[in-house]
Amino acid sequence: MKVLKVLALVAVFQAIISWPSHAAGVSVWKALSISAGAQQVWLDDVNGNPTSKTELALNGALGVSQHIAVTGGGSYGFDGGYARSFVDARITATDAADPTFSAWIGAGRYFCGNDNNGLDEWAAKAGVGWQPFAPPVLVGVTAAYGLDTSRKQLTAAVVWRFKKASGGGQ
Amino acid sequence: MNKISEAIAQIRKALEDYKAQLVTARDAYPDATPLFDSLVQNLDAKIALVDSAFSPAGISAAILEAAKEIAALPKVGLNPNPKPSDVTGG
Repeated sequence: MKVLKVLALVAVFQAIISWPSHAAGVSVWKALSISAGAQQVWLDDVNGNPTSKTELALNGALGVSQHIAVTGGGSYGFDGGYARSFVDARITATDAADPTFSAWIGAGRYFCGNDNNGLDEWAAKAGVGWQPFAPPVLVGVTAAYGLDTSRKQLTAAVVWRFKKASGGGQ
Repeated sequence: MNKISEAIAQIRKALEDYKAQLVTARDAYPDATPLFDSLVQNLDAKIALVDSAFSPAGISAAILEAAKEIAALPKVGLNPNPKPSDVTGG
């Protein structure tokens, strides 16, 4: 896990310091994807009781390289009117025969004011994403395992990608 | 790696649960069997990709490739190849 955590931190750091040198690649704006949608989150509360919450979400992903993205986002939960956010780095694999589906592993940090509404710690993460219909509609499932509390969190999302990154053509 | 394995196990279980729902639906609607068979086959292919990508060898290869890409980043700059899972939140 330490390897992934270090890679995540280095990927974020390298993405930041590489911004000025984008002449060799693409601009930050072209590398950015943005989406909004709804998601269902399953999480054990601090007493170990399973909970399920519906949220609205806004996400942004900076495509760093062919297999790395730095992703962040925020969500609003209707049940209790809370907000939470996250940032992570993802290493992604795609089936060459089916580019509409991808799987990833990564590490990231969650931020949440109330432990019962979401993780508020570093987490090991894994996920899948699928583009089942028209290009802008994406379905994703993300699993997270809190490094401090060992709590598990599962998120299933349907999002509309209203800005897609442009590839660098490597 | 045990902690990332826990997260991967959750994903695997979610996909298997979805497959079980498709099989249940197929049994409930015999007239739509070809449709559900197609969906189940499609999902099986995706589960196979997940198993391959999340195998110890797959993870090691992915981390190695990522390390190379990160090291090359200052020279090549941002070079995105957006994937369906990049912007689905978390």
